[in-house]
Amino acid sequence: MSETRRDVLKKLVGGVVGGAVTLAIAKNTSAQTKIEHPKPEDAQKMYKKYGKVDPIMRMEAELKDALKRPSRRWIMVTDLRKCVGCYACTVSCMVENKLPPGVIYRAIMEEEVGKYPVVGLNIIPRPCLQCDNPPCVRVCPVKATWKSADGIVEMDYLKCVGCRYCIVACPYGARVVDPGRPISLTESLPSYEYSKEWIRKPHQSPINNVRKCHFCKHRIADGMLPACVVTCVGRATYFGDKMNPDSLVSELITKPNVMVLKKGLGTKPAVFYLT
Amino acid sequence: MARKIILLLLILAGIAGGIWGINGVYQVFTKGHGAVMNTTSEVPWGIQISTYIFLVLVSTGCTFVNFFGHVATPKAYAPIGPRVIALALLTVLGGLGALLFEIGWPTRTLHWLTSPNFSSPMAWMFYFYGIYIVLITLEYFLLKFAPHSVLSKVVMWGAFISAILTHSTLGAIFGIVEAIPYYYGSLVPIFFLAVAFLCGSALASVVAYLSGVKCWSALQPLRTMVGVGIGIVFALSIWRFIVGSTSVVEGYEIFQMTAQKFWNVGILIGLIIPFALVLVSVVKGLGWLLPVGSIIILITQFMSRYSFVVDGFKIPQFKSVWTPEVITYTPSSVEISIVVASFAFVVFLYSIADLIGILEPKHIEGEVS
Repeated sequence: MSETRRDVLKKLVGGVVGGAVTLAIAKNTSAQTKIEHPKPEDAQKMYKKYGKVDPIMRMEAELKDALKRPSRRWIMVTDLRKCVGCYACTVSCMVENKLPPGVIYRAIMEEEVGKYPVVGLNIIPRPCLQCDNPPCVRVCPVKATWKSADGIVEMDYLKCVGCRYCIVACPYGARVVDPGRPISLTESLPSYEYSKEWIRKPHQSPINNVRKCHFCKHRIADGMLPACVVTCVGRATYFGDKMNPDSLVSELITKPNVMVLKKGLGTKPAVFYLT
Repeated sequence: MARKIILLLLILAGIAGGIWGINGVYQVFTKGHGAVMNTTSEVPWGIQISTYIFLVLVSTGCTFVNFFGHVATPKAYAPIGPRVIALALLTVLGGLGALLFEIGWPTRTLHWLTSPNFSSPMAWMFYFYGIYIVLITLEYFLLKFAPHSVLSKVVMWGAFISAILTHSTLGAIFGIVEAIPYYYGSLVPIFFLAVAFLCGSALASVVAYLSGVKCWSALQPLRTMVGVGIGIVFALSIWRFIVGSTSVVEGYEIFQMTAQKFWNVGILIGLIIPFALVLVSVVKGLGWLLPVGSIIILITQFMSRYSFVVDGFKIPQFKSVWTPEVITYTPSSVEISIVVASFAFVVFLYSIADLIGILEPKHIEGEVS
């Protein structure tokens, strides 16, 4: 038969109470899963309190701090004593930028030294060195690559004619050509280099273009560290603003064991190594 | 009659080469540049770039020969003037064709006009090429129709200066690359001009000999030019090699690695034997030895330009366990087809022009008719 007024009221109250409980649980759950990004002041408080803080946390805080400033100069430091040559940075870079086979932004240079039984392995991760005096920028005939104010050597994929003169001029082998060879599902997913969406399709840039590491500029714009920095298992890679004298990287590059690659060429790299 | 048959055969060869090249270009545009080319990030410039360099140096050389011929021995040289300048025009266009299909985005070359970077020699070269091509085209028509006019002389000087500017800038493209010591150096632009003079005089000698008795008067000044060219290139090559091979700077070891090829092909076969042939042709009066020596020069200079470009990349910028100690490169069939098409373009158009008789200067035409 038809429902009584009491039944209807019971259902109504039950529904309201149930909904409120569900909402409360959902709110509680979302509060639990929400990732709290460190704030610059948090990192600084922790540093003052404990004298030590995870470098990733500190660098991310410093990065966000630097983004608030009118100007900044990004640099990278790699502690070669901590680098284990795991290639995690190379792989994360490839995933982040959807790089096809043969296109590597952050190569790991391994060189065997010595003779048996006294042997060793030199491991040098090599991104683009974002030189302050970049030979690649000087030779590009159409201004498709330039040194930006924040220190990153950028590319305009839609302007690059693919002459590869910059590859020839780069003394670090840091520039690569995208030959357009097999495009798998992963490689056809969009990448967001230079904060634009790039879908790798035949006859479309960045295929046939010269490509290079850009310190994950798109991630930096969103307040995130470059992919290679956050995936470094040994905390061997550091990133930050050179113009901030209190930043971790500014501290590191004043160490006596700091070096740059091929210093004699006068390219003034923005990637430093601790040996 | 025999000459006409040879020209017809050359036209057919040009057509065949052109068809093969069109197929290559079709593959570049359909399959993609990277899929059909063997150039890589390690060897970014290959046989197409070396062919481009060779052909534009030949073009420069032809302009030089035309200039020196008209200045030093105008009467003896005049019969082959339009031929040599026509070859200068065709070879530069053939070379630019080889270059155009080597770059990744040929459709974007317009950026050279809209957004030039004047700190790059490659940007300057683009503008110099424009001036050079206009001037030699003009020079061809002036040699053909008004060889003795003042304008002809002015344009000839202009073409000569623009040839120096254009092709020394081409040398500077390599000369400023500090990253590759094999290329680096202020000598390279001058070396390129010397090679250009040698190649141009060699090609002009072949053309003068094959163009019949009416052009043989030019063989004598051309013989001198070939001899002088050999001497200059010999001196510059030897000194470049000595400086390179004795250097202890990393990257210069390429000179040692390529020493055998340098002495055997670059010096012995490419310069000493042709010089001996030129000498014998003078002493014994055997005119045909000059074109033979010239053909050897052209072949070995083509090989040397290929070695110059490709050998520069032999040693990787960074040594690693996963990079080969010596990087190798073999051109793909598509690259070869485009190279063949570039030469076919020159051969085809030159043979057609010769067959229809538009390469004779005005006064020679009058004498023949």
